Amino acid sequence: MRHHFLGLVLIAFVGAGSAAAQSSQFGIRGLGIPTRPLSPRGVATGGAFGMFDLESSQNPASIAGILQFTALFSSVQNFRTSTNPFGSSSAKDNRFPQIMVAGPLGGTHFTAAVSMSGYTDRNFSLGTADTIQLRGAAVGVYDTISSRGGLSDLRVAGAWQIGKSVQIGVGLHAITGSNRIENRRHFSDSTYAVASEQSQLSYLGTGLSAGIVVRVAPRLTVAGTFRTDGHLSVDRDTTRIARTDLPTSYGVGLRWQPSPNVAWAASYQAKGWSASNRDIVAQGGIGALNAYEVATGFEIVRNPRLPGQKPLRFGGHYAMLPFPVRAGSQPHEFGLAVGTGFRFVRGQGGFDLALERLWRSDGAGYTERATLLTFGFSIRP
Amino acid sequence: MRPVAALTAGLLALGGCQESLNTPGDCPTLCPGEQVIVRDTAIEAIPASDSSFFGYQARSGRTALLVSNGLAAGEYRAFVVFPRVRTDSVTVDGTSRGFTADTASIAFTLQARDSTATNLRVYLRRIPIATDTSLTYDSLTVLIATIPVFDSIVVPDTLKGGRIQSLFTGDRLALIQGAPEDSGRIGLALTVAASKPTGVRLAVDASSSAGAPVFQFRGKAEVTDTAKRRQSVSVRPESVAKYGYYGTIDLAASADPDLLYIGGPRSGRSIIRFLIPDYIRDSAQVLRATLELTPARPLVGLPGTAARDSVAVRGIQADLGAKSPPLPVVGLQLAGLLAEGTASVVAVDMFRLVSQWQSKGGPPEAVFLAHSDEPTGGSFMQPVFHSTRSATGRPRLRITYGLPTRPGRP
Repeated sequence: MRHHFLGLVLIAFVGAGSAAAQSSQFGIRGLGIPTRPLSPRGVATGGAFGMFDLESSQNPASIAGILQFTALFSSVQNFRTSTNPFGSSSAKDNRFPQIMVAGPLGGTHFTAAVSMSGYTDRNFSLGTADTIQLRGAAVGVYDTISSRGGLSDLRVAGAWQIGKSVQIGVGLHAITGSNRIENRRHFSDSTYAVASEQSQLSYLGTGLSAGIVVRVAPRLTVAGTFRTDGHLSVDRDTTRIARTDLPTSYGVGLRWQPSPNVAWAASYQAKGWSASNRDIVAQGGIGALNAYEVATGFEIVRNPRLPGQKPLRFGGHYAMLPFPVRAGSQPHEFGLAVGTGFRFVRGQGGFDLALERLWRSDGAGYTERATLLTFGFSIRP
Repeated sequence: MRPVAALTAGLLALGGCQESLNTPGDCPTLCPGEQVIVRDTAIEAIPASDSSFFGYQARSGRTALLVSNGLAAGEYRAFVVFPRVRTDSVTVDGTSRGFTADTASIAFTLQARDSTATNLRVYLRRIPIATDTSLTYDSLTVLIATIPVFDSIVVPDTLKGGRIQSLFTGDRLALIQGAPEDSGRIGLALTVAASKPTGVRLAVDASSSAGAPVFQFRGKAEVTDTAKRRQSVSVRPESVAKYGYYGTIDLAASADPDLLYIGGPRSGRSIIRFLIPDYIRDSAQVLRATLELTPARPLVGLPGTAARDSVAVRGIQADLGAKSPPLPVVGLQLAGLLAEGTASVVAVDMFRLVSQWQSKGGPPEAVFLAHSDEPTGGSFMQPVFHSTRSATGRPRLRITYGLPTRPGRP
C-alpha cells in the first residue's frame, strides 16, 4: 500500500510539467487562461460540485470524505474554433488537467492528498502575414509566435473530519511552470533563412488554502474556501526578470440532496486577479482584472450505494476571464457540460467522462467555441 | 468490463491526436512580444586589406586546351604532340603479331563551345614533333602560319560537348604518315573557325584519362582466330611538355595593384577581409548574406556556353595572406556566376560562411576568391574586380539579419 502511494506521488510530481488545461486565444496575454482544478465529475456538473468533490482540488476540506486510498489521472482533448478580427481557425490539443493521489491516514480522522492541477494555460500559436521591403524588393513574411506551457498547481493538502458534519482542510500550494516561447519569421523569398528566436520563462510561487464543508441539514451541505497565493517569481532563461503578485480568492458552495438519487449544487468563486495588474502592466502586458465564476449542476445516480456507477451529471457555468486580449474588454466564458462514470472490479477502478461545450467572447470581436472531452481513470486498491 | 476497456482505449487514442494550436493574429495588437526585427546592411571590406596573388596553378597542371578565333576574350592557339605508336605490330594474347592498319583517327573531347556559333571546325596542322612548351603565342602563330591545314574536324551545330574526331581511311591515311625517324609520332597545331568569332575548350592531360586526346589506328592483326583479328593501337599525350595553349591576353601581366584579379594564365586569386560589427556577430541572426563584387571591366569570355564561368569563394582556416589555407568544408565553398559580356555586379551567397564567422572560435572574416576553372586552367574569362582602393564598386558584404526581441510579455 505504501509503495503504491509513494509510486503514484512520484508519478504526480513527474507529471508536473504537463498538467494544464486547454489552449485558447484568451490565454495569449497575462499568465494565460485560468484553469479549474476539477475532476471529470466536477467538470460534468459545470464545476458546481467542485467544492464537495473528493477528486477535485478546489477545496482542501473535501478530501476528508475519502475512506480509502484513491488515485486519479485525467486527460482532456480540446477542439476549438477561434475567431478574431484577423481571421478564424480551428485547433486541437490534449492536456492532463488533474492528477491526484489521496487517502486516509490510518486510524485517524485525518486525510492527506497530493495533487497536480492546471493553474493557467498558455499554449497558443499565433500566425500573421505581412509584406516588407528588403533590398529594394517587396518580400512576403509569415510570422508565428508560439508558446508552450503554463502554470501548474502542486498542492499538498490535509483534512480532518470533525464529527459527522464538519470537514476542514488546509493546502499548501507550489505554483510552478514555464513558457517556452518561439518567434519565427518565414520569408516568401527562400534565399532568406527563417528568422527565429526562443525564450523560456520559468515561474515559481507559493500559496495557502483553507476550506470547510459543513452539513447544515440532513440534505443540505455548504462549503467555503479561502486561498491566498503570494507572488510569482519570473525568470527568463536563468535571469530573474520580474515578480508578479498572485490573487487572493474565495468561494462558497451549496449542495442539496432532495432524494438519495438526486443532488444539486451551486457555487460562486471570486479571484482577485487585479492584484497582478500592476506587475503585468509593468512587464508589458495589457493587465489583469478581477474575475468570478458561478456554476450550477446536477448529479442523478442510479444506485445510491454505487453512486459512481453510470450516474448522469450535467451543469453549466459562467466565468469572467482575468486577462483581456485588448484593453477595455474583459472576456468571459459560458459552458455547458454533461457526463457519467463507471466503476469496475468491485469499485476498485473507475472511469469518468465529461463532455463540455464552451463559448468564450470578449465582446469586441474575439470569440471562441470549444468542445472538451475529459476522461479520468481512478483506482482504489 | 470489455466495453469499458474498449472505451478507454478509444479515448486514449483520441488523446493522442496531433496538436494544432494556430490562431490568426495581428501583431503587435495581439502578440505577447514584438515581431522579429529584420534589418539589412552593407559592410564594405576593410580598406586596403584586399589584394591579389598569382601563380597558384602551374602551366603543367592544366587539363584543358583553349582555342579561339576572333574572340573578344583573346586569341588562343593550342598544340599536341602524340608519342610514338607502332603501326606494324600489335600484341594479341601476350604475343606480338603483325598488324595492318586500315583506319586512323584523331579524337578530342569537347568541353565547352559557343552553341550560337555554327559551322564550327577545328583545324589540324602538322607541326614538328620536337615542339614543346618552350613556345610562345607568337612563335606558335608563326609556325601555324607557315604550315597548311591537313585536315579539320567538323563539329555538329547540335553538339555541345563530347567526343569529336577526324577519321583517316584509304588514301587519307597518307595524311598522317610521318618520316620513319618519327616512329609514328605526330604533332598537331589546333585552330578553330565558325560562323562568327568563337572558341572551344578541349580536354587534355598527361595521365591518359578517358577525356584526353587520342591518336588511334584500327586494322587487322595476323591471327588465326577471326574473332581477334580486328585490333587497334592508340596513344594519348604522355608528357605535360608536349601539349599546351597560348593566348594573347594576360591581364595580370601588368596587374593594377588597386584591382582584384582571379583566374587567367597566371591563375590569380584575391583575398578580401571584412570586419563584422559586434552587434551582428554577437547578437543577430544572419538571414541572408551576399558578397557583391563589381567588375572593373566587362566580363568577356566564351559566350553561349553551358559551362558558364563562376567565381569560387572560400573561407580560410587562418589568415596567412597569399598562403591562407582554405576551409576544408565542402559546403563552405561558394560560387557566384559571372555573366559573360556584362559588367554587372557579381553576387555570391555567403550565408553559410558568415554564419560560421559568428560561431565562437570561428574562421577569420576573410574570403579567398578564385576562378572556378582554376584547377583545369581552362577559361577564356579573366575577371577583374574593383578593390577597396577603388572610387566606386568596392567589394562589400550585404547582410540581412534579425535582432532578438525577447518575446514573452504577459
